[in-house]
Amino acid sequence: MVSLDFPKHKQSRLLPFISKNKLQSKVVLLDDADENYWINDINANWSGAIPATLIYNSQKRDFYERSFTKNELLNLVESFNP
Amino acid sequence: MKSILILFSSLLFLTHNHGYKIGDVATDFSLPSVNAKMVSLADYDQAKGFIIIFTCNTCPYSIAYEDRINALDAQYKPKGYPVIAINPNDPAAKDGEHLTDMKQRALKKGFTFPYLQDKGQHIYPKYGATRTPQVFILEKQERGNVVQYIGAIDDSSRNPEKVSKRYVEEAVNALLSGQKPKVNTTKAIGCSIKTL
Repeated sequence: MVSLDFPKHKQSRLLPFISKNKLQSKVVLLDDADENYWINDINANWSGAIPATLIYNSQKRDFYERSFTKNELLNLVESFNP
Repeated sequence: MKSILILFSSLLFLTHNHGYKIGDVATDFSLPSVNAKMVSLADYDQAKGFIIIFTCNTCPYSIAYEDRINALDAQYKPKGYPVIAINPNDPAAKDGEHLTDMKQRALKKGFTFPYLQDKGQHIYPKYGATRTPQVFILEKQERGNVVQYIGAIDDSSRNPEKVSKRYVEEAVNALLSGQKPKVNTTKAIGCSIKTL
């Protein structure tokens, strides 16, 4: 999980959010400023709106600039598994 | 087979669409503002163009730019490029985005520019806005208000002290001197526009 929250909100918002939602996955705070540079590197079709999701394996790579329900996301990840 | 799932997130949501490209003529509108007036681009007969900013009350990225948006208006309204801010979010889809909330925010931050509600959400899809904040700089020409820049305000949303590229200032300065902006499209992280 890549958080694009504000570094100044790490203690007040991000860490409480992780605890409250019991997030198990690794969470990194991406605070690189030059967004115009790295957004295109992640996916050229990404406008920069969040949330956005990248799913990939050795054969397939898809990018979604939208939100999902839990079931939609589970089904999508499932579709990547043969 | 192992799949890797990466989510880029803050605490928020989104939609996708196409919209204007550089050189397209942008639509005018008549939208309610926080001071109870309806506002249209046609009201500004003295303007040379417009800095249209889709922004909102609740997105941390929008909030981080409020002072910088006031500064842009102070700098460019006297030169003929006023800021017009439009909130594209559906207040039914997100708390804190009603016109009454917008009035409070405008008052608290001393907005010097019109802050409009995209009532019915008909305008932002035409522009192709996907996030807040997102800027469209329009230049008034004979054929209409022509899109000359789409993108970010500058290159450091989350830390105003680290700004090194002031995209909107550079684009408007170019237009004021009769040039085309050197950089006319940029990307930045922002909050998805909220719809039901």
